[in-house]
Amino acid sequence: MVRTTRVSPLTHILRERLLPQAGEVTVSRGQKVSPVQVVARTSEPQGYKIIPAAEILEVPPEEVPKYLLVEEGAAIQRKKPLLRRSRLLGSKQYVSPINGVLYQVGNGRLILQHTPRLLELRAMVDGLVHTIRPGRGVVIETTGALLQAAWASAQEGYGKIRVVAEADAPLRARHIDTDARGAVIVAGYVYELEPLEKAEEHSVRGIIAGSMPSTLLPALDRFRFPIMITEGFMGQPMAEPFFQLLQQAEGREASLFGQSSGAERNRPEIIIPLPVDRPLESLSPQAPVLAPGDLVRVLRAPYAGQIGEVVAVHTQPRRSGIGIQTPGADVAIAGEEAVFIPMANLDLLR
Amino acid sequence: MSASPPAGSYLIADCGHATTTVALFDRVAGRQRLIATASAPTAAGSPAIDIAEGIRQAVRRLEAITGRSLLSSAGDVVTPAQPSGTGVDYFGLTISAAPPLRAVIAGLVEDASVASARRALATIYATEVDRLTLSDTRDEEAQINTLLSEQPDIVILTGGTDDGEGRLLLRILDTIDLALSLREGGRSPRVIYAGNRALREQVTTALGNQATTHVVSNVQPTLDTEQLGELSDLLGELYQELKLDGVPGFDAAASWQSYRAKPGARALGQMIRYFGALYRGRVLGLDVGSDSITIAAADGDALQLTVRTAMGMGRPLPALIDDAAAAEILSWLPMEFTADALRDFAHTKALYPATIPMCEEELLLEQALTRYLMGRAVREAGETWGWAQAGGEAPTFSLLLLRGEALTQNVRSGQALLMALDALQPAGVFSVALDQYGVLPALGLLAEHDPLTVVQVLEGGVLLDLGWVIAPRGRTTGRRSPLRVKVNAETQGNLNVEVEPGELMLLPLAAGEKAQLSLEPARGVDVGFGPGQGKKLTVHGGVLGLVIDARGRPLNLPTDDEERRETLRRWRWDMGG
Repeated sequence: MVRTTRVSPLTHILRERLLPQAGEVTVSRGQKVSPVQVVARTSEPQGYKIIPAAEILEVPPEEVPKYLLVEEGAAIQRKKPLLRRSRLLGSKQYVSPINGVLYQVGNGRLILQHTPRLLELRAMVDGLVHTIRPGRGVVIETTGALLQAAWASAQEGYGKIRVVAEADAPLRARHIDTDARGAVIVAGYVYELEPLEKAEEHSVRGIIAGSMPSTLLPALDRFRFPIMITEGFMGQPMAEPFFQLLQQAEGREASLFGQSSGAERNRPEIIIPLPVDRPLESLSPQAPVLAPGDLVRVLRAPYAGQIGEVVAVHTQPRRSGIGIQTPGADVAIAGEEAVFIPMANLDLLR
Repeated sequence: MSASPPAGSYLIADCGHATTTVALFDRVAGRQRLIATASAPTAAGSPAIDIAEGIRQAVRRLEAITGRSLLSSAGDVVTPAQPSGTGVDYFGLTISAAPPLRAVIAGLVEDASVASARRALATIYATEVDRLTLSDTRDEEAQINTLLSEQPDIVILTGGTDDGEGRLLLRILDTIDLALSLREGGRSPRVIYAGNRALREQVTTALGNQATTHVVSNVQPTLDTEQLGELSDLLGELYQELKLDGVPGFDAAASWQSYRAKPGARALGQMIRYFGALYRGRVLGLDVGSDSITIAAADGDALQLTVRTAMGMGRPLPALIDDAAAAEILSWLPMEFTADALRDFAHTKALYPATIPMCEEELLLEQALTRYLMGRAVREAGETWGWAQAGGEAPTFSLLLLRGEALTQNVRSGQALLMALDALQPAGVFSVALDQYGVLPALGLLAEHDPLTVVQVLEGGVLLDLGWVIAPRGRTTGRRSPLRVKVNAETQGNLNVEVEPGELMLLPLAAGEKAQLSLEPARGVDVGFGPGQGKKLTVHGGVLGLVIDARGRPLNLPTDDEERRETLRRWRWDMGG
């Protein structure tokens, strides 16, 4: 049993699309959807405003309803009067500070609810609605290539794949030209902010790279496109199987699902749909068992990011190079003699 | 605890965020023993956590190691043991893999009842997402919007001494009541009232329609009394109900269990209390996990427990390394390294928390990170527990128990001890043991049901006894020796040692061998019995023999970088490399 990462050129894919909170599903089961299609929507609360009405009007709390110009539950508009108290010498008026609803009146105060923000969840990928999750979203079914990244910024995006640098070469500002508009850019690694800033200017839809220094992370919020990292933050080039697959998919539409800021859960995914005329089998959900002949990626130095083939599996603990007793496997890397790698540091590619 | 212990075979699973460890206990030659342990990643090869699958994988490894059949063909743990030999009599579960409980603490005074509520909350896996107190400078609108957006699982309302003035607390209650009335959709938070008993009815009546309200004893019934027991117990119950039950795979795993699952930290706390009672002294337990760190201190029967979520050797790492932390971590490295490279490493480790070092440089990096986390966790726990923090020194202990992969699996014994001595800087005379098989939470669970098994398993030597440490506090001037030690060992005879200032040394004493020690500290130097006060005592050897740490407290690392690296390399060498 070993950590697994999908890097599959053609497979059956089920992608869940869920709202962050309860809402309404807008498509039906079996319906064909495109990336831009809205599959579910909800309204996102924007909070409340509390108005000390009794204090403002200088009246006892129970008298506040007498001076209301709007009914409880009614819509309110910014700068439109909410309360008015007429006096012998003129009147005292209070206007609404927000757009929204007069939600509640009580204890001498008004609770105003800001107009909720409409949140629309798009399919982001071509496919069919496989399952409806009532009130939450859908599962979309498609076929094509599937790659799991190690990390992604939170955004989502889709666009045509454009490979601009080799697996071991950096993304540079000069790679982002007018042809980059609307594209998902692929490069070996990112090491500076300049090309990302240029990508934002050119409306790039996403960037996929092997690695990126962690010092760039605080700056990523300002970019509207997702950035996906396949390896980590230590200057690694993109592992060959990922790069080759993306290279082969050049010009095809790819969907990038960020959704993860790290660790094992909800790994970020790249889906490159490819319709097929035959049914494809889903990968077994059973945890795989490592076997000779398997293709693995090593996750730690001195072999971090390198790809090798499993020669033998050792379920009983063995001594690693620095004396740690652990189960592992002998892995042949780049045609060299096999080396023992701890099981915890192997990533089975399939 | 059960009156008549049901001796039999036990399989206990401890599900952490990164790793699940299963331990099999059974009768061997008339005594209960640890038969074997096995581990597997909790995520078990799938991108999502499924604790049942993680347990199955670990049990399959256990089956391979022991040759015993424990799972049915459907992958369920078989209980009770069958006449054919398949299965075990009892299955139990401890968990730290569930997400933390999101809590809001509302109360009057930060340093009084609110601090008590925080101490109770710290005994489970929880995150305090907001705090409402009299010193809160936000207006009510901001408080309400935060209460709504944070979506807490629980709100703890506390404050006021019993039967005291309640007006101010009712104002806070009003804010909570209003926030609850404005909630739209989602699960309503549970409200726990642990304040002035005179207001109980008002609180339950006010919140009756808005949320399920639990009432427990006031955490500070009088100004100088603290009672956390009921609140702490209830928090444990709610953690189980609101979080454990929602962990993927929990239903399946719970269907195999013979006992109610226990949060891992609570189970560990149980064992630390056990050792506290056994040693009739102060025991410190430290579990450096992937997603949390647990610190437990027992003084006799009394236990203090703090769980630090968002602190650990996995996912939390990047967020912990600010500039000051980076400087401290880098100061523990015997090689040149930059703060940026350290952050890159921490971010990558957070992506792959279950991975282990394969080269010396990364081993040293992980050990430097471990030192920082241990030191910070214990320092901060000590602050909330009211330990005197004179000079940043920890109080004295009789026993230090360490667990977590960074301390027990991926490291030599001398390195593990050196990390603890560097990070905690304990002083006095104490012994140190490692939970080398990761069974302390399992034993903590068993202690409630079959204490005899726990006693027998511990007698069987499941902990790795590193040995006794003599660590004087205070320094001498010049080259004057801070401590003279006379060792009279059963087989190795007499040894007289004049310890040099700053020296870290291992004296030969075979594991388990008894020795009479005579300690003669120099004037002003304290080995735990008062400055300059000597003592004769009996100790026994551990795997490292007998350790003398005369580097002084607090440790002073040289300010010159090359000198500091050389010092770190020397200490490492002194402890066996």
